[in-house]
Amino acid sequence: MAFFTGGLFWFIEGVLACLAVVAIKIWTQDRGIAMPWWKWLLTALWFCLAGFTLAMIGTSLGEGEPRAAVMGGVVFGVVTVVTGVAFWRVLGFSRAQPKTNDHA
Amino acid sequence: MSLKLIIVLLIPLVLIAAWVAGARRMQTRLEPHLIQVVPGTVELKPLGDGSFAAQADERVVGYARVDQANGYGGPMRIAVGIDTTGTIAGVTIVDHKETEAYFRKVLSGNGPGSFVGRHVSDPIEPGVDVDAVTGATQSNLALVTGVRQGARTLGTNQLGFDVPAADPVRFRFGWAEIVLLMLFVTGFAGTYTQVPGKKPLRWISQIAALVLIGFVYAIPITLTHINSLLVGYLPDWRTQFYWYLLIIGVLLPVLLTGKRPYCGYVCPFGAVQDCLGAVGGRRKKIPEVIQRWLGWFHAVLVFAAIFVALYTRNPGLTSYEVQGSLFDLTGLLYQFVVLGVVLVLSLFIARPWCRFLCPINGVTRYIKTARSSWRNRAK
Repeated sequence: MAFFTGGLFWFIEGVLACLAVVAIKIWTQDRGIAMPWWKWLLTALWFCLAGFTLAMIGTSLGEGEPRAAVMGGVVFGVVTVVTGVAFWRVLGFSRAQPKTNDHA
Repeated sequence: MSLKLIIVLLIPLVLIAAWVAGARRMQTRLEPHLIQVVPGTVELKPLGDGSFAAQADERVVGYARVDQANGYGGPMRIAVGIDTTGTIAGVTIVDHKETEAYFRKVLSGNGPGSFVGRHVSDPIEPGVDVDAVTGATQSNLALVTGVRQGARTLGTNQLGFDVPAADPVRFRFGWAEIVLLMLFVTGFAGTYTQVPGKKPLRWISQIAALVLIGFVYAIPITLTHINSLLVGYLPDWRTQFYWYLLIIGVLLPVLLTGKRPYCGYVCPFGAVQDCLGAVGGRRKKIPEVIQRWLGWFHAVLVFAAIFVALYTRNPGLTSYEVQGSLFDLTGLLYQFVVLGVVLVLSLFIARPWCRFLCPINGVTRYIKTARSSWRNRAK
């Protein structure tokens, strides 16, 4: 479990956070979804929650507390998934369709 | 005779066999427990009233007996020992019928050890002179009542102490019972009458049940209630009136009419799943074949859980529900994992727990099937 207490875990978590932000930007542009500030705020909050959940599971495992990792993972994982689904619908992502290629 | 009817008839016969077999193997040796509660005991001499004199080298070093009190799942038997000055020397739990996660809570504090050193004339009350346990009140109360009863009987009969008289049992009817009754009335109105605005009524009832029956009182119906009823561990109606309201409110409507107002209006875990379903849209359909297999799995799981409970005479042993993990954060690790999976699935599928895992639904579905088979044959 040394992986979770070392710097590599945090590095990967940071990379994932950056990739997620870039991915959401490209994905929303591709589908023509307007992203006003409040949508970015909700998205950022959700990314923080997801990152926190991952970090909590990882650090608990790193400290040799698998039970805490499972309990925390279940509690915060469920909250993350539920809020993720709710935001997905509230932000209108579920209705989004990719733009058609006009050059075809 | 159809396969369905054969299964319907076979289930009670197998359960009766489990009940009888369970009754036969219910013999616990008390001696080791009695010796344990009075340190230094070499032999026990029966005193006639269920008590024993604990002796060492022909000399009485204390007294011991086993008493019982009703816990959440059934009777809890407790061995109590006192020394010759009337001080409690030891307490052990001989056997119990509590749900494992709640029983662990009772033991998590000082448990039986918190009584040692108290005198038989002490109040022996949770929160007064012994530890109170939050989240396992009924199990802890059984332990305290058993110890108090045992210690006071020994103190009075063997040492001639003047101990406080036992409190008279009072009929308990509080807010929890009132709330449950009101929810059942709403459920019956919504199920059996054509009241306008059924949908909002159902939501209001479910939210109230979620908050009050779920989070505030944390006492929804569980398999332990059904198992206790089948094993024959019926609690005192004066102190456990809620238990009877719950059992009658859940089982009687399905027996008489084949409908289940509890599931739609009163069940707090059903409400949680419906709320999550509203968030996620729960539009996913499970293929018919998988539904059928899951249905069989559900039936076998519930049957096995009841069978084991009857055979072991332990109603709480097979109570695998996950509501406790949600409403008062009590449960075994697997229950938290299952809870997480169920909550996530509830976003996409309508009531996955109720349809494929809930033991209460399994029992009521059996009653419905048996009822309809009976009616069809009668026609």
